[in-house]
Amino acid sequence: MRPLIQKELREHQLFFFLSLAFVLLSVTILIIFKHKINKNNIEWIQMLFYIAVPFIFAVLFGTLPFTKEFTQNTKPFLLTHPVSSTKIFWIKIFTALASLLILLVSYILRVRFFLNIFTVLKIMLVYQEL
Amino acid sequence: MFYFFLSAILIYSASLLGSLLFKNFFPSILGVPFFLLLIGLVFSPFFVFLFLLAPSLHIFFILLFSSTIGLFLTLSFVIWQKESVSDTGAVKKSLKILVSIFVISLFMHGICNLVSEVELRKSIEQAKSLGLKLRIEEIIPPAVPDEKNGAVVYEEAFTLVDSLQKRYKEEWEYVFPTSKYIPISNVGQLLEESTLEEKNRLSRIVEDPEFILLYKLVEKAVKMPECRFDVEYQAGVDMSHTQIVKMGEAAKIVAVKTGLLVSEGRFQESLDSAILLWKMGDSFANEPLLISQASRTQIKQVSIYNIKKIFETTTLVKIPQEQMDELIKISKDKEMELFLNGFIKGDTTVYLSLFSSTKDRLDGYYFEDVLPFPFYGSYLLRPIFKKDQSCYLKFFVKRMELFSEPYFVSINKSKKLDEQFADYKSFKTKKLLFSSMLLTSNRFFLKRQAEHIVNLDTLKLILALKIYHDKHHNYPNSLALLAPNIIPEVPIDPFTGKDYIYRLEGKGFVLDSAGAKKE
Repeated sequence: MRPLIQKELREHQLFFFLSLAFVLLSVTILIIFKHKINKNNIEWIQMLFYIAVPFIFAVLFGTLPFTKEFTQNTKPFLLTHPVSSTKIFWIKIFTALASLLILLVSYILRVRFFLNIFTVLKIMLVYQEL
Repeated sequence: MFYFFLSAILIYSASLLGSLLFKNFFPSILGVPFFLLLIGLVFSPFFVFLFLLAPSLHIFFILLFSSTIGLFLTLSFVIWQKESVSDTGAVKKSLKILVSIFVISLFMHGICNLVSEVELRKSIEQAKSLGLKLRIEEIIPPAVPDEKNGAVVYEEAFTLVDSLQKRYKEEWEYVFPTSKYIPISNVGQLLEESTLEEKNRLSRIVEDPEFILLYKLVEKAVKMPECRFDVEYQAGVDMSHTQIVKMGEAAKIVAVKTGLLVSEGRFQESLDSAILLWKMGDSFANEPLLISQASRTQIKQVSIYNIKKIFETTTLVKIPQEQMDELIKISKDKEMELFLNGFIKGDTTVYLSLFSSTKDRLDGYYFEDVLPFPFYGSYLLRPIFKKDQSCYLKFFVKRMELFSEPYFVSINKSKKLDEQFADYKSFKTKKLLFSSMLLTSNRFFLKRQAEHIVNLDTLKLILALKIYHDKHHNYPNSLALLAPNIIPEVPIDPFTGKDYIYRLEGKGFVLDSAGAKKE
């Protein structure tokens, strides 16, 4: 069972780190272009960070575990392992879910951190208007 | 944050199903919204069941998300298992599961509908047994021929009120500033506090020939045997209350005159004017609406205020015998019944009409911005709708029971009822749209009723004491001496359930309600 879990995690590894890099990159871009943030687009940016990005991760992590088996035609090979198909199913689901949750938690922590920046920016915008 | 993770897991499970069905990356991603919509449709009757079952919104969402995620995972598992054995039949099996879940979902919905229906019927029967009318047509007062209808004369008077308001804009603005709402009941107090110069300015209104004509018309109107205003009751919540508002304006002018006469020391004239106000209030006696009954009590309140003021100053004035008899015989039960008919029964029926034609109602009036579901009256939400209606009826049935009891008893029961129904922020009531919007705390209405009763009782006692004084040339040591010769029985303070405060002081007396002050 352990090799199966390791296999799943290995398969998610690349995508996991790419997603993490994406999070870091997007936040960095936001800091670089903070002067472009104004009251017209701040809502959109917040929505992108809070809703769109996490949901994209969820969709990607959901499609990844099984499509790979089908597109690379590795499913018949996978079923030859001395583990029941039920176990394989749940291992696939829970490892992908665990990766997703880890990513989301780290993402939320970052967004929480940058939420303060948003708040500061909002206050700055109000001051600018005054 | 919790829902953020739940939503992410829901989308994750939907994409799992997509990946197993389409076996390709991009179609799976594109299929996610479709799956969510499909499961939403299949599960929607079950969601209604969950909604009614859940004790809080939090639990409802947890149940909703977990059941949907569970369904996605079950379907994914079935497809995976089926495909592990053979490459065919997975979709067929999934469809079978979906159909069976839809049937179960419909069954649960049906049970909910049945239970709500039974509950609603019970509430309707209970409401009917207490005399609550369920259709607007039933509360509309019978038509009155014009020659007997005081409202026709009032209509003439209202045009004069408009004209006076336009011509004496400045004076009117002083008494009733547009920036602040001054109820009719406060006019007497307001005039008492105004300066001589201000009173002189107001005198201009009451000395105007148009006002004299208006006053005569009001005198004529109150003498008419019936009064039935042309209110569009059929319009339900959309009905306009123009006549009631105009009546209030007319009463304000008459109240100004009464107050001015009191301050000038023209007591007999002021007493006549106060009695006219009293009768103006009575014109609304048969109106079955909260607003008209509220106006009635306010007009009577200013009348009572002035009568009391007059008797505080002099005992030389005389009330016409016929009027004296009427005031002395003021029946608390009748007043409470009028309160019940207008405050409770009338408005309950008017708002109940919202339920009978929800779809049409949703298109108009203020509910269009409030209701999140434009299909609230649809078959899918019918169990919630019925539950809403039965909750609304149950509340008013209990409210009607409350209003039949004195304040000191009903206020404690009201607290319990408010806790039960009017915990308006709780999910139990909030999930029922109309109930959450229409149910209000009973305390305000109960207090208004009790205050009105206190006003009437004290007036009745003052008049009885005056009669006693005329007979014996002194005031009695106790209120008990007034009954049964002058009044049938001594009224009890509705705030305390005990006698009103009464003591002799100098040549006069002090009469008060301990409870009203305390409240």
